[in-house]
Amino acid sequence: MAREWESVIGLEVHLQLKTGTKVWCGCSADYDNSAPNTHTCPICLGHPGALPKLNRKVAEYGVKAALALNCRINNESRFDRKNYFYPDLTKGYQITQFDVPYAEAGHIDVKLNSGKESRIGITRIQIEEDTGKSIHAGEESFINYNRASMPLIEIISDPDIRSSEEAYEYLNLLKTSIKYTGISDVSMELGSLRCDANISVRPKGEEKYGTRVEVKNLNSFKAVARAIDYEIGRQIEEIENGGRIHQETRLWDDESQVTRLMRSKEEAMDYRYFPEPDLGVLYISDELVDKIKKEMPESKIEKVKRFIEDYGLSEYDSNILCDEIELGNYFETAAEISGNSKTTANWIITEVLRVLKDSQKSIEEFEISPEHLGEIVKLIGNGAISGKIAKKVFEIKLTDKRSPEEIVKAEGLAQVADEGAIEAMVDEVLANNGKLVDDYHNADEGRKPRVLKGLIGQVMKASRGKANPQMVTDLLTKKL
Amino acid sequence: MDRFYKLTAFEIKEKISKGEIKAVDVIADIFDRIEKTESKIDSFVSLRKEGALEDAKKIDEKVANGESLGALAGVPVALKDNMVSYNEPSSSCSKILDGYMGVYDATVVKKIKESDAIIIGKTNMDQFAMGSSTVTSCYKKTKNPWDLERVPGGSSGGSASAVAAQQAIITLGSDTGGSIRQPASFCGTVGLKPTYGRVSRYGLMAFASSLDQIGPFTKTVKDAALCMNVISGSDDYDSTVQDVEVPDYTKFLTGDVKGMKIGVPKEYFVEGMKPEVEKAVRDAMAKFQEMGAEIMDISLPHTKYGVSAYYIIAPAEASSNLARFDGVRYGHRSENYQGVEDLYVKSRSEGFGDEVKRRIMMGTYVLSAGFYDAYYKKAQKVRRLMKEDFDKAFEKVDIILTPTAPSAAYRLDDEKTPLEMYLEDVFTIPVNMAGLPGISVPAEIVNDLPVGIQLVGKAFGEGDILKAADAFEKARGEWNFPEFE
Repeated sequence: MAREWESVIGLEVHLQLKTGTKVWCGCSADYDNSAPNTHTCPICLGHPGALPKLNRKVAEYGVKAALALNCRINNESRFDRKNYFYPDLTKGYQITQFDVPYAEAGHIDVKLNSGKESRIGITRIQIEEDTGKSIHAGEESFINYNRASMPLIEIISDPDIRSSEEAYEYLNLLKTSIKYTGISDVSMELGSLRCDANISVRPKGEEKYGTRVEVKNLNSFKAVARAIDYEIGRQIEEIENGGRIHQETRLWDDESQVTRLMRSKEEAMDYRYFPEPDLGVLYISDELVDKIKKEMPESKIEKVKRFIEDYGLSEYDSNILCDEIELGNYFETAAEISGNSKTTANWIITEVLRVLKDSQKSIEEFEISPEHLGEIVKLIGNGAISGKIAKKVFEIKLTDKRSPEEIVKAEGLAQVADEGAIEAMVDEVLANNGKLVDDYHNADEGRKPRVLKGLIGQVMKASRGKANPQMVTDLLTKKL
Repeated sequence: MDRFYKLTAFEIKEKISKGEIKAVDVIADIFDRIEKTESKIDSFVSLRKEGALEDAKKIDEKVANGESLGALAGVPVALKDNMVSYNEPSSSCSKILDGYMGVYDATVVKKIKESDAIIIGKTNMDQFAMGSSTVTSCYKKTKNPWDLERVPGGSSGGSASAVAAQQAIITLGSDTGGSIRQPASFCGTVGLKPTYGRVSRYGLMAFASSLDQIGPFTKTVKDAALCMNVISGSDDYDSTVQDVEVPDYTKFLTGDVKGMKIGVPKEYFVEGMKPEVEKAVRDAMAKFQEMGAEIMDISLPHTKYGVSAYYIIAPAEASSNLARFDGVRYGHRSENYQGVEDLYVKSRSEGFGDEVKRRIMMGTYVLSAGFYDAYYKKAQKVRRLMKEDFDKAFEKVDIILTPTAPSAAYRLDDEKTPLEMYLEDVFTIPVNMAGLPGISVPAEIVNDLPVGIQLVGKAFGEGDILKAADAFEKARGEWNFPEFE
């Protein structure tokens, strides 16, 4: 009988912090479009005699990440040296936090589509430095040290993740939580988020962990999920065929969708960690933590809760609007002007997000300001325009700088609410559509509204969409 | 021509600011002295005569314009070769950095320049400061000015011999386990190792980061105090420097040690100690008593573990500190290599000397998985106990008096085993392990060789040991450096 298996997964996430300058020196961190090796100095190049000095902003950003991920912050933590040779590592060691990290014992609560909820623990977060970048071209290799000593935090999860779906959800929530704090771009594409996965399997019910395999070279959240699924399958198959799992590091091959052996345990490096003597203890006082806590922007969870309570939105809509901090802000500004939060939310979710998706723009780049969107919704609310005309105004606004009100006025789009004018139009439609009128009178109660709708459409058409639909309906019903 | 090389830093600064002498004449005379003596001593590995004369002219212009002068105006200063200075050779006397020019100024170099002192060159040293006789330099062997067949001590041997041979007025050295104080004792100069965290290490090529400190070699205690005024204090580039106020150290030089409590640790009178050393210490004790100080017996029970623990911690840190010398970005790169691994192995094998390789191997070993707890962690424990020994002693006494080195300068052909060499630092190592200030002062001449005594102070108690050293120096009387010309 085939055994049931359980997979055990832990993720290590590296985040690059947007601190403006590097972690040990004053070199500018905005090197994206710069020539190679132009953002360097004796310190990040590891010249003789140069010493590191901690950029305090790194600690502050670190605290923000730790708070966003529900971690405990250590008042005293230390730096250590991880020793290994590689050309992109200028000092021959990476400064990291090995013995005592600055933050520990956090968590992310994950909810799957199936409804399954679980709490994924975060073992620790440590501050460390990035390396330069090696570029291999045939026989030659080149190194760009612009990235050397960029500030990183490494977020290490507990082995609490049980599936690729959970891992994917964990990463998405982590990304959103961090994005809300503004400390990192959290973009795998830009390299400001990198992820390695530790994967093992064990028979269901077994308490002892199986031998774990580390998988590197994961370049998207999707790749993380696929590599986990592949690796789980590979490990189960290996064991069921009588083999055993070796502790090793494997690389994900995105093209072939498989993992391949990189190095075995025997080839694993001995990093000879020891306390970094050039940096003192990293003190983070409770006062500093409290101060940062006060300055921290609202988290997504808090924001969603507030949207439900204050604006009466559904959880579903709130989650969509809060997915990005800027979208949530856009909604709040628009809703304040429109005075109708539900309609505003609908407009953003259906119209705004559609345009953004089609044009591949972010909300910050969107042509219609939240104030103007709010105005459009407001115009519907006070009966100045109909919903249909509103969509027309919206389309015009995409390429027009005038305010919605100006557009309505200039284009003659204002709703007609003059009873005499509408009555004239109704009479004309009734006179010209004898067949429909007969049809209405002969129809049973179930079909009547449909015929009426057709007549309403005719009147609206005659008014070029400007007639007040409620008044049209009332007058038609009366006259029929 | 007037001879200025015999002056002290204090005298040169006074005379220059009064317009009695010119900085260019001082520099010209110092280089004349170097030219006449250097072939016998070999103190220097690089000289900057043109640059120094240019700098001197600027000082003289300042005087002529009535501008205010720095504390060391016109004083010729030489730097140990492990201190980085911009666009000047900075090699730690290792082939792996032969030809390397500094890409910035070390903080001490900046401070020395700001004090209007004039840098005249770099001095010979044991490669990467690893040694006690300056024979591990990749360039040359420095000779002791008192006896050219003897070593100057080390690792800052060139800095010590340059002051003793009066080729420089002040030199800077670095001290990890005794590398300023032992050569100061061997060469009959004053040598001060400050409290760990008193002087910035930014720009000092690290040997053992938790032990290294930069300090001065001078002819007199007063000059050491002057130099400490210049080089001490906090630095944005070194987070291990403590933000402790820098007093005017010359204010401590009152000559009055009445009532000062001086501890003498019984563990420092080891069996096999050379009689000249014991005599120097006993005579010094008597002198201090005559001056009204109180000599007290103290105990530093963990002293005997000092050398062993030091030779775990220092090589461990060194093995990591020297990893940056890999032939990739600067320094020596082997001419024939296949791939990056081979580039590392060959460049480092060719570039580092034997003693450096020995310590890299020791350090790598003690940090290895499975050995860390038994060696490095235990050594750190010993280090804490040694520090506690000193803390306890300083509850009773103001300063501590010990020999500086177990012997006077030995012969260059007296080949020592590595272990014998390591024991040279038995009296100085504990001071580094505890991060305390220590000064070696010339005490007497026995068999034509100088012998120094060591005074150790509380953390940031440089003032106390300078005060005692100055009083002792005055009681000792005039000190004549050997002549060559």
